[in-house]
Amino acid sequence: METGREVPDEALVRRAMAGNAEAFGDLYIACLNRVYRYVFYRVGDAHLAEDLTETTFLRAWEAHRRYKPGKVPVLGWLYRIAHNAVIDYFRSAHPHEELSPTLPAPGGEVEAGIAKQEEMQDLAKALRGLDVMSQEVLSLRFIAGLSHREVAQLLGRSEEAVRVIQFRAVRRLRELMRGGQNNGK
Amino acid sequence: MANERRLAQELEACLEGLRAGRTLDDLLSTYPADARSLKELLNVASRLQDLPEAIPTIAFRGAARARFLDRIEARDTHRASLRPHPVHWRTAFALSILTVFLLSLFVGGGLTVASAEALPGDPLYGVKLTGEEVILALPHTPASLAELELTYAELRLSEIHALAARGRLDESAQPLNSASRDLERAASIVQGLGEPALQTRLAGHLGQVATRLNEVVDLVSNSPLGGPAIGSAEQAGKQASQDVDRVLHGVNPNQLAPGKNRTPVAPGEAGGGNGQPGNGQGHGKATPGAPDGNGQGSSH
Repeated sequence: METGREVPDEALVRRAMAGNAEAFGDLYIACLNRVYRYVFYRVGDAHLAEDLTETTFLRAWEAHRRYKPGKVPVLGWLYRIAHNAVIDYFRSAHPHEELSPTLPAPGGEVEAGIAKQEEMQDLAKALRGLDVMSQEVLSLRFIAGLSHREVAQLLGRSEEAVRVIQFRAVRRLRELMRGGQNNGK
Repeated sequence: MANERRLAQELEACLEGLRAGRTLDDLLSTYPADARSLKELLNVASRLQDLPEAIPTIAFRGAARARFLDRIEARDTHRASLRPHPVHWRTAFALSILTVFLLSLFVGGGLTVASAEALPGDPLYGVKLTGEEVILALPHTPASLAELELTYAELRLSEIHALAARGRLDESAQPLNSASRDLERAASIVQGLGEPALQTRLAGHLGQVATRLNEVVDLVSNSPLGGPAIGSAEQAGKQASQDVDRVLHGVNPNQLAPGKNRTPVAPGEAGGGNGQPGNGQGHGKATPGAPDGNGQGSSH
């Protein structure tokens, strides 16, 4: 079963970054699920996530010459482009848009699944209530599954700075979720 | 602030511990004073990690690759249509000469006088690379871009020889990776060229640089170096060489020997008379300037 967590083959990345369009198409498919997941939890809408995922890879193609192998893993580079695509979307055309999350259904029993889905929707919504940097750190760390060091490298911050951002973001998320629970009662 | 830093560090340590398979109770017992706060934060973090897999629809995924390739082809076609006149290969050749001349001017002027001789690890090496990036960012025809990529690949290979002479071959991973990348880009451009005469001429240069790359890979392989960076760079060099072989075989399937035994091809020989571009599978569609051969090669 495809987990969507695979790292793309190095040779494929090299061919893609050398300007081989077909190889870039293969890279797109290899990374599609991971980038989509990252974008989905940033925007909370499946169709928009698909559009922005495609935009991410089109931008990546435009920028492939600037990719430095060995400096940043290709997935990290794609996450950065995806992050910018999300930011641009909200800044330019839809600054006040707030999307209601439509989470994919988790597995398991139906009732437990519904309860879990509601809880997850609250969490995903709270995530989008954080400031941009906090969203990015948490998304990269917990949704994209990057290591702490990789996140720091990708954002050009010190590991300590990322640790503190992560701590504040998780704490804020807890407060937002508590607020949501209280409002719901 | 110190308190926040401590908690941030403890949270990270607990996350790492959980990832390594330690139990929550075990981890919290390490930080009894902060156990309650940490437990709540870890609960939020673990729920984030447990967010369900989100995957695109089957319809989107099924058509994604074809649609992506169509869109980049459409973009390239649109760009090509904005160009006023096709560039004849002689013009392209003249432009490549001009570019190399500009490169010489750059390397010979101002601050870059000092950086021109800089090697990886030297303070001015970044200045040198930045200068090259500036030249790359100028508009180029596909042919002049390929020439430029080959020029840079040769520069990187020269740097590795210079590092070897100074006993610093352990710093060769970066230039070896760069040379491989430049060569692969040049190969990709050459493969997509629509002008057989131009393609033949560039194939000759491509073959020569690939041969030099093989020599440098041998030099690095035979040195008593280790480490993943060097090993990865060697692999990149070998892969680039194989990619060049594929392109050269496409340009002239009868004349070129693969791999390390490749005979450098003199300009004008590589085409072997058939003058046909490679099989073009997968490369002609959106490589810079392909396949009309008249365009600005790059998207930058």
